[in-house]
Amino acid sequence: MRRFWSKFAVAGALLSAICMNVASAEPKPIPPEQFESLKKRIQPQPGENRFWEIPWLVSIHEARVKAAAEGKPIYVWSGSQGAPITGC
Amino acid sequence: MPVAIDAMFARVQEDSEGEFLRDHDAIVRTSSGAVRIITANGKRLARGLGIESVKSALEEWDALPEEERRPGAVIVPEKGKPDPRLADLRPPEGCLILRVANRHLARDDQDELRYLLVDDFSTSRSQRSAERYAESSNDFLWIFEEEWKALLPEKPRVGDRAPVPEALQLRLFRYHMNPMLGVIGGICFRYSATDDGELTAVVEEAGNRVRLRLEGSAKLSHTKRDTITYEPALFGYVEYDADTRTIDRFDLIAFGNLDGPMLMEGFLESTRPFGVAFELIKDPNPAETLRPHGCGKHSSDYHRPAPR
Repeated sequence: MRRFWSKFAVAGALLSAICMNVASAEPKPIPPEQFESLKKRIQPQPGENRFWEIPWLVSIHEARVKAAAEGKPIYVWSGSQGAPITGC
Repeated sequence: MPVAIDAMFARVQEDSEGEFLRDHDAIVRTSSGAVRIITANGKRLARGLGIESVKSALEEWDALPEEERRPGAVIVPEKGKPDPRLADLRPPEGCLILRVANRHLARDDQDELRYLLVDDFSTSRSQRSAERYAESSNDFLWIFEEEWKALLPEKPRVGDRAPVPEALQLRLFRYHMNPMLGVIGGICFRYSATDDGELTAVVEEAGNRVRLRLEGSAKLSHTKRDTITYEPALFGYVEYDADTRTIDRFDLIAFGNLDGPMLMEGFLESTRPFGVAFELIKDPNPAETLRPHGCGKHSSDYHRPAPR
């Protein structure tokens, strides 16, 4: 019986050690030589987020003044979590 | 004339702009965003995001009498005094604006990084949504003048190390390591505490130009039950020109594994690489002065993150 508990204790200690190791593992550092390529990979690629190619205004007053002066309608894109061109 | 509007603020904005938008039903309170096409005096032409709506609106526009659409026909009244609460939603003097890109990634059979594919999602998801989720998401980071100045040592010497100001670290961890951005919205790690990560600035070059290397890591979790965790390493560079007294480079990335329930409906993997890239905007255009996603409901904590 004592032998059983002894094995159980060893297994428990091993498991704790593994868990602690996992919990304390630091994220793998980013090597400086990979910085630029990783940054480019995360950033928008050609053809993505094309709505940023549009020269958005952020004031309805300014849009009205310009639209009136140029004789154009106004395209209003709104969202409840901020202007949709961010957070999108 | 394209205009992007923050409907969360506009629905309570107490000035002529807020009144115009509400009176003419020109804003929509949905998180995914909606479009109205109107004339300069507020007449609504069409609604909807699709190209068909735009075509309909242009047909309606062309059908308007000449006196409503010719240049100069509409006289727009003076703007008047803006709602003072708008000040918190605009970058203050001296503030650095960084463009932020978030991206969910995957690994191939050789464990190499790859972009997400439509096949990474279950068939319950439309191809259009899957394609959108595979793209990067947009945000801005604000670094206030006192914070970037505090980053710079008084007498920099190569090898000097110092922690990045706590407020900036907390803002990064709480509001910008955000895998929900562009997916379901919201702030994933808003309750992050000071000891959930660390970011250090190391002097690499000292003189008329000062170059700092930023390095650190974080372990962030969505709730106390750790339902979503993100453990990124952080790395980047900041460069300061002593002659012009300006920061002319601020590049930073966070990269690591995101783990937990699917944030993207139909996404098949529960663990995937997730990265965030920050880059200084040297000469922001009007749209690049829009408030960061996290500086909405929580604008006070965004400006001055309370230590926990």
